[in-house]
Amino acid sequence: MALIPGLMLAAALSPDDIAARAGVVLAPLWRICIDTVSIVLEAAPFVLAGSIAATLAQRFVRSPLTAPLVAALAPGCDCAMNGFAVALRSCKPAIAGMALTWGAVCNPIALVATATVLGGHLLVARIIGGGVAAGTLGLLWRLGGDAKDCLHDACAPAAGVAAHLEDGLRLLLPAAFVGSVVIVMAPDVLGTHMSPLFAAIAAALLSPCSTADPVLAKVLAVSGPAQAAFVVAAQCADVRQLALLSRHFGVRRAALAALAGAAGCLTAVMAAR
Amino acid sequence: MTPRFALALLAGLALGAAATGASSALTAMPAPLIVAFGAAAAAFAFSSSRFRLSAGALLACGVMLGTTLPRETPRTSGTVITRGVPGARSGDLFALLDQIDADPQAVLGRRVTVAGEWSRTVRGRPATVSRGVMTCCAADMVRVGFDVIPVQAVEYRDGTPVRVTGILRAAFYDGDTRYAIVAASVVSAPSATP
Repeated sequence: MALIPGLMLAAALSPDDIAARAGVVLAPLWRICIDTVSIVLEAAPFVLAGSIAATLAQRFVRSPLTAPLVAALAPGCDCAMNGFAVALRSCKPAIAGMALTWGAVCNPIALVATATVLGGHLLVARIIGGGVAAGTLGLLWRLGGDAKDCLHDACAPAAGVAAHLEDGLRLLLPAAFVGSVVIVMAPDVLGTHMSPLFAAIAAALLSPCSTADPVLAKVLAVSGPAQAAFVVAAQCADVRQLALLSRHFGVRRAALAALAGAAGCLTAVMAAR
Repeated sequence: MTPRFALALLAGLALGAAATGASSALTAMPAPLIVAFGAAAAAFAFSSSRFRLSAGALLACGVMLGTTLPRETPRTSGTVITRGVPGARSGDLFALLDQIDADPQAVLGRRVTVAGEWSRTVRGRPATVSRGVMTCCAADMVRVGFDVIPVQAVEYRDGTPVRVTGILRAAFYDGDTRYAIVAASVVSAPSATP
């Protein structure tokens, strides 16, 4: 049965037509694949580094606050949070969420990059925005989170770097795919953004790494408040971060995290004025 | 596919991409770090005593996939941004954008020459000369450069390396200040862009 429409199409269209039409469909698909692979390749070493740090923290220090502290202060890209997340499952969700948010927005390398590229004023705005986002998330998760502390059967943190790495990469791939689809289907996301709101939406969809977001903010956002909204939204209200929180802590908590991210953005915008 | 098998496939992909130089075209990550990741992921994939043969086959598939990745950074199709990019980047186009960022009045109205890739007029937007800037990976690549109003019709295809000479002007477009090279002559310059 499937042959008949195929034969009718083949009779109606010339080979050149078919090639042209196939190109229209296949070119964006190919570009989505390439962009997805590029995101995964760029992030994978950071996920590995985060996995190693999280495993070491779990193995050698027995305090329940160690893993959150390491996640919050680790000098790496926010991609490393994918590696940390498994280790944080055994913590109180509010503390884990605060650590993941603060670590994504205000990790040391991101702060240095922001100070270098965007200057001291926007560095302060980023720190304030990240702090408000993390604090609000902690508060919202305490007040409005699920009754269960952990959504997984294996509440105990997985042992070993391999388990952390597998989990981090499993989450990264769909988020990278979503980001790539947005970029290919709406390339003007990478255009100039005048208003903080549009800058924040673009950052949330684009979901760049924390080491790259200051440069992109400088190029894509015109004003200081728009740049502040871009860098904060890119890390705490973006596709990758919300997917990470949703997978490990549930959709409800991820939705609350998006609200907290919006509060962080708003505060950063006001601080950057 | 179990996660351990996916790890083998991704390890192969990373190693294949690093071997052909595709990783350098698609990411800002140094190739040795991609190789280190590939080696570590392969070791983890093989660490399970079962299914080593399957993991090996998937690793080989990943390497083959990695070698099919493009070895040149793909072109982006978004808006060309007429604003400087922080960080040391060589080239007359970046130098001019930096000058504009520092003091636009010093260069506006002057005759300038920049080299970059040509893009034709699309949907009412002017033609552009631009260069791609990759901050992290191919997905976040943006194009920076100038609108171009040539003195005569230009027939070059998109992506052709060109040298553009003309007068630098500023225009308010869609609420943003954009910079254009007007009364411009455009010549093909194969060696103008890296």
